[in-house]
Amino acid sequence: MNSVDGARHDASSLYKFIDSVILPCAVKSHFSYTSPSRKFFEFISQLGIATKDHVARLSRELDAGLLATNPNDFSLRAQELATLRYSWFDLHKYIKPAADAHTLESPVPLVAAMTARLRGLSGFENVRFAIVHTNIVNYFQLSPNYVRQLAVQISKIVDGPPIFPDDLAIVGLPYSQSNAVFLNTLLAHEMGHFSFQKRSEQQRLSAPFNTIFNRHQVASFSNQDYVRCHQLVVGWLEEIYCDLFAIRLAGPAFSYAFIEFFALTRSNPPVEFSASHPPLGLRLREQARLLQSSSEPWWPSMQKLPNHYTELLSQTVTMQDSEFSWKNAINGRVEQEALACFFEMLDEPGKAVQEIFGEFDPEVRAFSEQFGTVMDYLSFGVVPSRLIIGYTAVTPSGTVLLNAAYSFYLNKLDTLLDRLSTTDCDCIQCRANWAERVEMWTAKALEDVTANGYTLKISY
Amino acid sequence: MGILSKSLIELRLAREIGDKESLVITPFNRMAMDADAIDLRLGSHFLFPPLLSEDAINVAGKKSTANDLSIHIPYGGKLILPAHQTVLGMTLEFIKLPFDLSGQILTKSSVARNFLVIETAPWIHPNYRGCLTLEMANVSNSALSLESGMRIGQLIFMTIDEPEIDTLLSGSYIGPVRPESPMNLQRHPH
Repeated sequence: MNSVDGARHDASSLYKFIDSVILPCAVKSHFSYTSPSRKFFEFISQLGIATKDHVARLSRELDAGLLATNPNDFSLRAQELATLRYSWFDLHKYIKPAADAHTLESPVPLVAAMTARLRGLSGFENVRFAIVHTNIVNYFQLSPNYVRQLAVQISKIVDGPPIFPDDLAIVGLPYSQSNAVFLNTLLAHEMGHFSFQKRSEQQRLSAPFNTIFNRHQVASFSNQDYVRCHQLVVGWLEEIYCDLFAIRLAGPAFSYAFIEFFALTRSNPPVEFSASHPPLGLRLREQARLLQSSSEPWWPSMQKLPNHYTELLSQTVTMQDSEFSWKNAINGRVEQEALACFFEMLDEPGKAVQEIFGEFDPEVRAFSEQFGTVMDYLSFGVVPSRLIIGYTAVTPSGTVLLNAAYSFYLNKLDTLLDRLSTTDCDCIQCRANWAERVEMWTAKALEDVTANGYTLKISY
Repeated sequence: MGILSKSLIELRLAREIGDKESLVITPFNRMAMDADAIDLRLGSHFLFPPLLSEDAINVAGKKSTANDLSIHIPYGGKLILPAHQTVLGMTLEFIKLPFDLSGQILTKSSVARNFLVIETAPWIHPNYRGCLTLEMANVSNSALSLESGMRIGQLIFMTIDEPEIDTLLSGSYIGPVRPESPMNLQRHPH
């Protein structure tokens, strides 16, 4: 096979590969996907078509013998094919997971409720979230910048590729949690990552970091040390920012999901920093402090519903900075400096989040007035989307529903079980079945108050 | 036994959940009320029966749900039901009946005239709570396009003479919000 034949084969192989990669995107117009997912599929599809057009043109040029006479041009085109292939390898990872996350396997009412709340805030009016599944037991946010950069990389080679839509974020959840409500509240943290990037918080943190770093006068640090230190501090602060953002977006339900997901009630919460994350104990402490100390805190209402999760939150508040440390002492000079800078900057994420959400949270007062009624409805086995309080019909907000239902699941599940003549045992299977049913009622209530109207108004 | 009028239905709807005479219909749209009934809408979840891997379904026995096909059609989306096909659907409305009312669901006449049967077990017992399961059958010779959220049935309420107050929730299906195969929530063996 000569080099022209080889290039023709490579072009054909890439064409076939892209065809198979974008095949799941053929479902893009299907109504069983949310509008953000369909937008993502549309983007991938258009990118695939633009790439295929480019490859087909290249193949025609090869057929016409236009490239064989110019070795430099030929080599450049071969390199382009390789770049396109590797860019599509990257995109490949997210397409099937997005196709798997259709509306039956996604927490659509929960995401719609959180998105609706976010859209009410300045700067987030058009934000939307596509959902993908992951094989790992974790949640993530795929940076729009990352996808945009891949598209830019491809656009340097092919003509007329689409631009990745502004305000489209992609968040991932474990496939096993598909349409669950309570644990998937952790998605609020991933929405925080989107906000962190959208508002360029990293750049905003650099100035105070430099001030503190310079004040410490660490003369022996190389530029590489500085970069590493900056990276650690900003990375840790970003995680704190996302946790606080999640609480302002979803309320204490986020902390409950956080405790449940990381099984933090079984032992003392971890206190060691890793390169990517602050310790879980510290993250929980910062969450508890926000819940207790904001202008109109959630804490008084939470204290009326004590459980082992709120008890853990109470305990972590008293933890001191000195209790947290870098996970090992090897080469710890930079890390120790990073820790010092981090603790000095620990107020910054809270300030940034308050800038977005404002000082007062109207959901706190609504929760304190309505949570008892929502829990009563659930204890009677009734979807709490239309409450009667003092002969007046009240529609609770998504945040009130989510937090009251999560509290019911933690505190009051027995009040439901006691009303059932079909369940005369307290075994784990019965509890799990009814806990799942409470989640379904919550999802239905969220859908009633948010998703259905949302579908009609803004084509979620 | 008498049929509840619009004003009596509204009085029941205004009672708090702990009141034994309270009636719940949610989501609720006052415009959906007639003089003696309330319109119900088609929900978003559907369950297609499995293709048979055996000679016949044992109606009296426990049914395998492994091959049931769940479908979700978001509000406003369309489900195409082929001619002579059946599917389980749900009402969009979640209903909770008090101890002294029974209910009956009727097909909307405009739906019935398209030869869509929506209910073969139309009676709703006192204390029932849940979205109402619709055993939908397209008995026409054409495929039918069904829109999630469309008005599909009407619910009427009847008072019971000498009702029994039962504070415990019972029945095979308590609080369903999606179509369920038979016996899903029966007590499991120990």
